[in-house]
Amino acid sequence: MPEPAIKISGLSKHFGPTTALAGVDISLQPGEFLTIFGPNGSGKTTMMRIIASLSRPSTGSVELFGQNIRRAPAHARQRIGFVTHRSLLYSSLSGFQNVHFFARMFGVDNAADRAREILSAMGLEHRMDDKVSTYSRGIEQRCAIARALVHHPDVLLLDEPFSGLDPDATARLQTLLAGPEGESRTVILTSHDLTYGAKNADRVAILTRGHLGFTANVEQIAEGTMPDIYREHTRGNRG
Amino acid sequence: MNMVRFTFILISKDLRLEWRSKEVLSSTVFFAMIALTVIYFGFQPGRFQVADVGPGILWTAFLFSALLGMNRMFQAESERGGLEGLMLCPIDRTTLYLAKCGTLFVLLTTTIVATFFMFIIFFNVRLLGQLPQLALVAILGSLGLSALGTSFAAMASKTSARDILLPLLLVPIAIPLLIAAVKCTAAILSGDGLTTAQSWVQLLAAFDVIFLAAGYLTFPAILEE
Repeated sequence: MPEPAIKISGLSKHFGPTTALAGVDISLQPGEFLTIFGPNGSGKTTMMRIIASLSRPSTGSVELFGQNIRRAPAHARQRIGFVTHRSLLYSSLSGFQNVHFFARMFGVDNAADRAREILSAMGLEHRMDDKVSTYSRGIEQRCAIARALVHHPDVLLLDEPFSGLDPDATARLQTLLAGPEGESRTVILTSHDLTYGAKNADRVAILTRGHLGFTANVEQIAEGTMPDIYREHTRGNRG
Repeated sequence: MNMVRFTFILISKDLRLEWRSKEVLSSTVFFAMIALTVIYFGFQPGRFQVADVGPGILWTAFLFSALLGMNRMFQAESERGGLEGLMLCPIDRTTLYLAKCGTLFVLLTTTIVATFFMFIIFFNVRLLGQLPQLALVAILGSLGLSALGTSFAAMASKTSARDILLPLLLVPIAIPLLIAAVKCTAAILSGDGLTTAQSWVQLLAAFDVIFLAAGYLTFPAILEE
């Protein structure tokens, strides 16, 4: 058994009296794709922020390829690409300038060439020199994914990446994730959307009120039953 | 070496953003100009000694315009989550402090140069021979405010009451710096020069060193949730 790409053990996070995460355990092998479903306020974003080292857990640990991210956060960040519902881009810079800037910050060789390459892979070759403020939500999200992938991360964290996208843009994003830039990476995706969320996944899980209530391999789930499973596990727990 | 390189990349990105938007400098310089104009017409120059009240006017106008600039700088960063984007980069968060402080220093130094220039025109002050001394005070003053302002503006940017919180946090702590800067400027304007205000220059320098070190050490904790 190879070393897990991500090993989350007993992860808890409290904000004052509120418990956002209560002892979450997850182990993912390199190349595995996990989708976590959950209602609003279930702790999905909190968990993703802890894995990305943006937030400190109250208890528990996150290991990336055997290394605790709290002990070597800069090293962990080098291996992580994080896409959130916010693009983390600068609106007054062009798509290329944004991605080029992040490529330089991640110490990517030939940063300008790599920025152009990844933006073209995201289908932005004709828009990369336009300011981000002129982008539609779908194009901005593709640019955000280019930003997250520019340094060839081993782990990709996608927090509600379909949020605010129309069905066309969502389908396009799905195709991109299934393509050469998306595959071969360990991916954790969070979503409310049961249709799109599980499409590329190897495993799915349901997070409710900070607890991981359900985990299964996708092939173990009979077709069309996911909405019922979701309803059953989130009953009375909608945020 | 990497820290220097990343600090340079971050500062050049911030200055490029400012060059395009002109959000910080337009607000700080415009505010300083309005403040000096109002004071000029309110006080009627000639009825008082510029060396007595001028430095207070100058540094008060600069402080409040600097507060505007600090808030604007971090607002632009949080617009689409830019600060989080930077926190995801594989760099030590102290590098972010150095870069933000460096950017703020460049912007505040530009603001204070513009403020001095307007002050000289409005109050008809002859300062040509004292420019190097004035430049030293301006640099020490804006470095201290940058060191302090970077930490407090980052702290305030995480709250919804950032516009109120920043002055409440910063102004009381900046008082020693302001007094020292006013005393140094008064010594220069009176023609005595900084030789008569050496202890105030030392206070300015000490303030800069203390708050640069404090900001450098505490910034990672400020960014952390």
